[in-house]
Order: sequence, then C-alpha cells, then structure tokens
Amino acid sequence: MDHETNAKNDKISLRRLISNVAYIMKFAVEIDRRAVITVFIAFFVCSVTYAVYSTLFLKYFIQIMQRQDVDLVCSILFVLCGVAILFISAAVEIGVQNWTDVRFLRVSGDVQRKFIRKAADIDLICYDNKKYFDDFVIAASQSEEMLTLGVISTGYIIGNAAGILTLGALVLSVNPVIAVFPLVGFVVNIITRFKITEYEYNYEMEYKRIMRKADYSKRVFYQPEYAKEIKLSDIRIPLKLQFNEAVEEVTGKAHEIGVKIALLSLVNWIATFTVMSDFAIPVYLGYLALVRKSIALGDVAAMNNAEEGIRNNLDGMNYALVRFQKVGQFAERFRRFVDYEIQIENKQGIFPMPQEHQTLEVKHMSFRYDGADRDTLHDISLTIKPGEKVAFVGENGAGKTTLVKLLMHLYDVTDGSICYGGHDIREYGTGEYRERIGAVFQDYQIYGATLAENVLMDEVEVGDRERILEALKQADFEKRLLRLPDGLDTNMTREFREDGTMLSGGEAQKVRSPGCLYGRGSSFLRFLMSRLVRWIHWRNIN
Amino acid sequence: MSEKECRTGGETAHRMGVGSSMRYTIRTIWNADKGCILLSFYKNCTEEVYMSFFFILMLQMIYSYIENGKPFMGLLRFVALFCMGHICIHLASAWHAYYIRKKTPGVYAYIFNKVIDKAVRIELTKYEQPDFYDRFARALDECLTKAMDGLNALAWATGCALSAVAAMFLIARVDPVILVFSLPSIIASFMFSSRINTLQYELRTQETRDKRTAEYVKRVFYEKKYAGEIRLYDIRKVLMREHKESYDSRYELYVTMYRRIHMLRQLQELVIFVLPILLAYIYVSVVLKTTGAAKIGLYVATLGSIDYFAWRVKTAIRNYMEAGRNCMYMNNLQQFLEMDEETVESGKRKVDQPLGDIVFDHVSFRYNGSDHETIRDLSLHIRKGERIALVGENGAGKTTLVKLLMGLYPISGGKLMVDGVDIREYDKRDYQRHFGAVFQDLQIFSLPLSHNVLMKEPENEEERALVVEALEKAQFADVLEKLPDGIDSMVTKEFDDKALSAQGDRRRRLRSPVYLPRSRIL
Repeated sequence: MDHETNAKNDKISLRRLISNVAYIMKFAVEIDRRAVITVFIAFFVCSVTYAVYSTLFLKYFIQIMQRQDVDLVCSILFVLCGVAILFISAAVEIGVQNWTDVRFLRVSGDVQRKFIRKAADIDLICYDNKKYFDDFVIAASQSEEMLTLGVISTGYIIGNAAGILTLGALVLSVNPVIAVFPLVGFVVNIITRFKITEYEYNYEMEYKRIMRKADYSKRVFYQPEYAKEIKLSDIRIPLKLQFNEAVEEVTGKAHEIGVKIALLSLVNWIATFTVMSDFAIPVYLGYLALVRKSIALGDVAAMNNAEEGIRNNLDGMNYALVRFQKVGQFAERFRRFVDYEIQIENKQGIFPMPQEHQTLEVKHMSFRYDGADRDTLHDISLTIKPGEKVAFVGENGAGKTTLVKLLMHLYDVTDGSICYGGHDIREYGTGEYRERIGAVFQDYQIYGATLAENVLMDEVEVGDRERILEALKQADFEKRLLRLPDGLDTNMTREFREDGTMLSGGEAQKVRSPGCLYGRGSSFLRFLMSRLVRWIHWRNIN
Repeated sequence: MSEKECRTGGETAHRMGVGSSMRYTIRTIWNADKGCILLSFYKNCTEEVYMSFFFILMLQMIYSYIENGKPFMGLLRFVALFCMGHICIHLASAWHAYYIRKKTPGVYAYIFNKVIDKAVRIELTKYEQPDFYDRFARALDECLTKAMDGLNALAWATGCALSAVAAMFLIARVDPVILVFSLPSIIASFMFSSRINTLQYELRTQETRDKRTAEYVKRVFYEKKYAGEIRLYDIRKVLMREHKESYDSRYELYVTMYRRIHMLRQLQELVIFVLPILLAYIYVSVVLKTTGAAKIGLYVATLGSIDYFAWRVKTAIRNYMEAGRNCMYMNNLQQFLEMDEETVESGKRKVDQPLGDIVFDHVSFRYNGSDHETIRDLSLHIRKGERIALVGENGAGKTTLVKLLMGLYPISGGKLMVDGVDIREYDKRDYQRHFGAVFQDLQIFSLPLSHNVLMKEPENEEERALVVEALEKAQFADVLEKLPDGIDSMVTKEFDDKALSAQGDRRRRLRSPVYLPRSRIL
C-alpha cells in the first residue's frame, strides 16, 4: 500500500487536529468507557504521587535528619509511610498496565470486526479509486492501533499536566523565579523540536518515495514467481542498478537533512538541557542558599527534583503531542471512512425479486470510472432472454469484466440503466438480486477456510456436504480429495496453519469452478468469465 | 511472530544462540561500514558514563557545598565545568545521529547485494517449497532494518552497563554499605526479567496462529483482489467467525498468562525499586541519626542514585533483550546465505552452435520432500527442427519437464543429453541462453520497456534496434508509437503513474523472446 501520495494532504490546521482527536476519543469512549476512564485515572494518580514523593518526601526527610529533636523511630516511621505510598502508586501503575494489555486486546478484536464489516460493505468502486482506497484501507486497518494510541496519549497528557501543576504549585510556593527556567527551556524545546519533527517527516516522505524503487527490486528477488526468470536472464543487473541508484539518492538526502537536524538538535540539547536546567537551576539554587541564604538544603533538594520533574513532564507532553498529531492525521481518514454513506451494498429493495426467470435488458448504458477522461463502456444496449447463452468477446481492457460487474450490481451505472424483469436493478435489494447470479471471475481466490467452505463460499450446514461432494465430483476433484488429510474439512492455507494444504493453480480452479456452484439457488445468469472468452479470442486471431 | 520464524528456521539449520547472532550482526555491519559500529559504541558509552558523573557526582558536590556553606564561586566553577563536558557529549551525539542516518541506506544496500548474489545461485526448487516465502523472504525483509536496531540496542545496553558500574563506584565512594541494598536489585532484575521474558515468549508463540488468522482475515477484507467475491458470496460469515474465534482464544490465553506475568511484575517492582529504596533510607536514617555527622547532603544525593542505578541496570537489560530479539532476525540472513547452492552442476563446455537433438534417457524427478516422483522413467528423443507439443492435465509435469531441460532443476535419475552431451557438462549460463521458453507465468519488471524485452540493459544501438524489431514482430508497434519515451518508457505503474501498464495479452506479447534471434529451442 502506498501512503506517500497523501503526504501533501497531511497538513491540517490545529483546530481540525484537535477536533479530530476529540472525535477519536469520543469514539473510544463509546466503545469502552470503563477502560478509557481507568487509564486516565491511573495516569493522574501515579503522576501526582510521584511528583509529591520526589519533592516533599525528600524535603521533609532532610528536615527530619537535620532536626535533633526527632528520634530514629519517628524517622523510620516517616520513611515507611513515604515508601508505602510510592509502592501503592507503582502497584497501581503496573496493575493498570497489565489490565489494559488484556482488555485492549479484546476491544481490538471488536473494533477490527466492526471495521471489517464496514469495509466489506463499502461500494466496490472505492477499491478502484486510489484516493478512496488509501483512505479506507488505512483508516480501517489501523483503527484499533490508533484508538489505543489516542487513549494512551491522552492519558499521558493528563498525567503530565497533573505532574506539572503539582510541581509548579510547589515551586511557586518557594520561589517563583525557579519556574522561569523550565518554562524558557520548554519554549526552546517546543520550537526546535517542532522544526526537527518537520524535517524528520519530510525525510521520511522523501525516503519512502525514493526507496520505492529499491523496495521493488527487493520484492522481486524474494518472490518465487520471479525466481525462474531472474536465474535465466541478466535482468538482475538493471534491477540491482535501480536499487543502488535509489540508495545513493537517499544517502544524499540523508546528508542534506541530517546536517540540519544535527544543528537543531544541538541547539535544543544545549539550550534546554545543559543551560536551562543542568546549569541554571543548581547555580540559582546555590545562589539562594549560599549568597542570599533564603533557603535550606531540604528546599534545594526538593526544588532541584521539582524542576527536573517539570522538565520531564513537559518533555513527555511534547512527545504525547507528537503522537497526537499522528492520531489527528489518521483521524482525517478515519472520519471519512466512518461517515462514508454506502450506496449499493445491503440496500433494501423497493420490489421483491421475481420468482420466474426474466429478461435482462441493458438500455443505453454508460460507465466511467471516477477521474477517468472517457467512458469505459459507452452507450451499450443489449437484451438477454431467459435461457439464452451469451458470450462477450473482446480484447483485454475492452470492458468485459466491467460489464459483468455492472450486471451483478457491484458498480452503479453512470448513465442509462440495467433492467431485470422490467425494473431497474437498483430497485431490488442488492443481496437478493445477487443471490441469483453465479459468477466465476478469472481472478477467483482460495480462502483460508476449509475446502467445503471454499466450495460453498458460505458457512457449511448439515445438509450441504452431499451437495459439495457432488459438485467436486463433477469438477473432477475426487481423486485429489482422497489425498487430502481431512477431506472436506481440510484447511486451504498454510499461512496460519501448519496442517493446511496449498492447492495448485489448476486444482484451485476446480474447487472454485462453476460446476461447484450448481447447487446454489436459481441463477438466471451465469458468467463463465473470460476463459471461454479468451479461447474465442485466440481462435479469432490465430 | 518473529521468534516463531526464527525458531522454525533454526530447527533445520544449526540453532543459533543470541550471542552468536549478535556477533554475526556486528560482523555484518562492520564489513559494510566500520564507522557505524565504532561511533555507536563510542557515543553510547561516553554519553551514559558521563551521565552517571553528571547526575551523581555533581549532585553530591552541590549538596555538600550548600550544606557546608562553602563559597558560591566554587560551586559556579564546577557546575560550569560539568556543563562544558556535557556540551562535548552533545556534539558526539549529534554527529552520531547524522552519521547513522547517512550510512544506513549503504548498510542496507550491502546486505541486499549479498542476498541477491545468493538468490541467483539458489536452486529453484528451494523457492518453490511452500514455506520458503515465510521462512526467508519475509524474515529477510525484516532483517535489513532490524540489524541497525540491533546494533543500536546493543551499544546502548553496553553504555548503560558501564554507566551502572560508574554509578556503583560513585556510591561506594560515599558509603559502600549503600551498595549492599542495590545488589538485590541486580540479581532480581536478571531473575525476574528472564522469567517474564520466558512467559512473554510463550505467550507470543502460543498466540502466533491466532494472530496470523486474524491478520489474514483482515487482509482479505482490505485487499482489492478479494473485494468482488467478498460482496457476492457469504464467505464473509466464515471469515468473520474465524476472526472472532481467534480473538476469543487469544483473549483467554492473555487472561491466564497475564495473571502470572502480573504477579511477577509486581514482585519485580517491589524488589528492584521499592525494597532497595526503603532499606537505603532506613540505613541512612540510622547512620545520620546515630553519628550526627554533617554528611546529610552527600547521603541524600547518593540516595537518589540508588534509583538511578536500578534504572540503569534495568535499561541495560531491556536493551540487551531488545538487541537479542533484533539480532535473531539476522539468523535468517545467515541461514539464507549459507543455504546449499545449486546441485545442478555447471560444466565448462561452451555452446558454440545452435542446440539440436534432445534425448531424455530414463529421466526421473522428485521434488524435495515429495513422496512420489513427478516424472518417472521418461525417455524421449526430440530431433533438431522438430516441433513438439506436450499435452497433459494440470499438474502432469509439463512445466517441470521444461524446467529440467533448461537445467533449472536437478534430475533425480537418468540422463538428459543435448547434442549427445549430458547437459550438466555445459556452462550453465551459456546453455540457458539458447532457450526461448515463454513460461505461462511470465513476469513483467518495473524497468524500461527495452529491459523487459531483452531481460537485460541494452548495451548498444544494435540491441536497441533489436528490441524495436522484436516488438514489431509481436504486434506491439501500434502501442509503441504512442509511448512518449519509446522503448525507454517505464513498464507498470509501480512508481510512475504515466507508465505503460502491461496486462494479460499485452504482457505476453511484450515478453516474447521468440523474436530474438539468439534463442533456438522453444
């Protein structure tokens, strides 16, 4: 899948970004409110506890140590209490983490199925349009991952904000000036990091674009179907060349952007970390303690940790915001996908399908793919009476498959109409209409299910087995069937099952051949696609 | 998934340990670019060790200065000094990031070129084994990126380990007894991490099949080639059921496994973090309360470093594991590169004239791992100039026969003679060049049109003319005329939307080497 073409559209306004993230969050809450709230509370509690532990606990510990009037037992009790709170917080953190690992798995399954269902109903035409296809496929296939990321990132932001507020309040209560340093650092950090992220993103896009050629070469060398020709010819030389050219070009880009990123990183690191926090804070605290003598060691330690805590939280927030951006960009597609109104699939009919076979009439029908500059099919009219046998003959790309897809109501016509029994086929329920058609495409697929299910293309019920066996017998598959380990229940893939069986091309054809579908309803049209057509075609030219 | 593949891969070849796969990874990158290795280790080690001094030693000094009311200028001086050092470390980091970014594509190319050179020499039957793609192609694909990740994790782990040692030294300087409280954390980290990792490994192995099932279903629904059928039939019900079942069974597995993992993680947290902190604080309380020495600053700074120390140890271990995981991918590369090469021997004899008589003399052939012979005891004599057609059902062995003749497969029994010479005596490349076989499943490459016709880069004008001639004979002239760049136009829309798309019949015509004069046997 190529996502890189959408690079340009990826820039969206901040407002849109926020609204997108809100959309995702709303969606997540609807799916599993309990998980979302638990995660948020856990982040909040842990962050505040840790902030208090790293500052106040230390401060009072030092004060207790310095005061002669507190005895050892009291000191140890204080330590026990402090560490107990820390332990509880840590336990909550780990507990919630583990709980969500399990919980999110189940939610992921539900979300995936929800979107798979939607994807299966999206009009087929979307698959032919690269824009839709990218949108929908990416939106649907990453949905659970992005929902999780959205929830976790929001959790981080809540936690970080809580930490900053707690620590900030502490700092302000001692000396507001100390708060200036992390803030300045944060501003520098956010500006430089924003720029760095932009460069990184540009590089990533360039990298993907340039490396497409290299990736292609790589893929070719791995795939068995190419192996023969690679061995027999010298085609590997230009392929290698193409690969090496891409690598060289990308190295050039890496140099160009790498220098910019290195310089910005230096500014970022030196300003934010070295100067603003590791240098300025200790020196200022030292000045307050040693020159002004306004604070004691306990405060110095607490302030030092508080500042470090604020910086870490700001940093964490920064990262969370970057992730937010990712979620927001994703949500653009996600929204389009969720909001897409399905035109053809699952439509209810106005008229019931007639029981008897009827005449099929194509009237001045034209069809044009979205964005194409001419009609694929232009002003077609034809009539097929019940019982008639028709063959469509034409060159490759003449539109035979498109016509069949239109007849099966997988596409909607652009102009004119297709009528069955006097009614436009759009006026019948889509499922009901298609029930009657047995189509075998040239590019039939074998699915990772049992043999029986592949023949029936449906769930197998008790009475079906006889029919399937009969169909396989007609398709001359009997002998092979005997050699299958589990007969009709043999799994037809090795992809995720070691005990599965892979059929050869010819065998697959038998399994999915029209003979097998004879058991299926009363089809008024049976399309034996293009094998026949091609045969006629060859006969004509040879 | 990865471990699974590594494991099944490892069963046939020798099982490689984590150590040896790390060594292999390092060696491979070293051969590709020495700088990557040197700089990675240098950067990580100096940075991490400096961090120990920066966070522990500097803090100890600051707190002591303040507690004892020493002059402010002294504090300013050493803090400034530490920060200067910090800036030097940043410089090395920036250089490292730049260098790695720039060199990674080169390392990638280095590994890729090795793979290609090997791929050409591997026997075709290997490719056709059903698990080849899973075991090698996918795994190899991943190992390209994982090698650099592995190096990074390993260098980082080393840096963290050294940093932990430095921290130990700095803690011991103040009071060696505090170290005693940190030691359990080291032992526990090893113990718990390995237990947890084993459990997680077990979890991943057990969920592999279900995970793949779900991924498969997901893919079917999102891939265009399935889209038509998904809408026409109820196969979706079957697939949805499989999806749900796979998730349900994974969920059950997670619930049981996570119960154990959870317990271990809580214990780990307790032993690594909470216990050392608690004991150290109590110990420090006792020391400070009983001796009353003015060492509070020093001790408090050191207390913080217990946390730091545990964190370093944990990071080192985590990265080491991560490095191991990443380097394991390289096992696939090594196995691939060490795979048996072709057993069809290549002889020395040159082919100096068009090939003629072909004799199959009691030829048999059996695919690796197959239980019966695909071709058994076949004898056949084809004379020069004769035209023959092999007729047979699907899977009867027609293609296999052609592949045997072309020396693509090693015959298991009998002899195959061309012009009275056993084909194994011919120089293979030279021999194969004399065939003009058009396989059913011919492939089009995303390269210029001329490359696709010649199956190599045209070297001179004659060869270019040959391409045009061949295309004309293949009734391709009308298409050629319309192409903006003629025979230099890119084929397939893989990376150029304006490119020529070649499908079906057009594809066949475009790749008919029949029209190239050199081929003699069709």
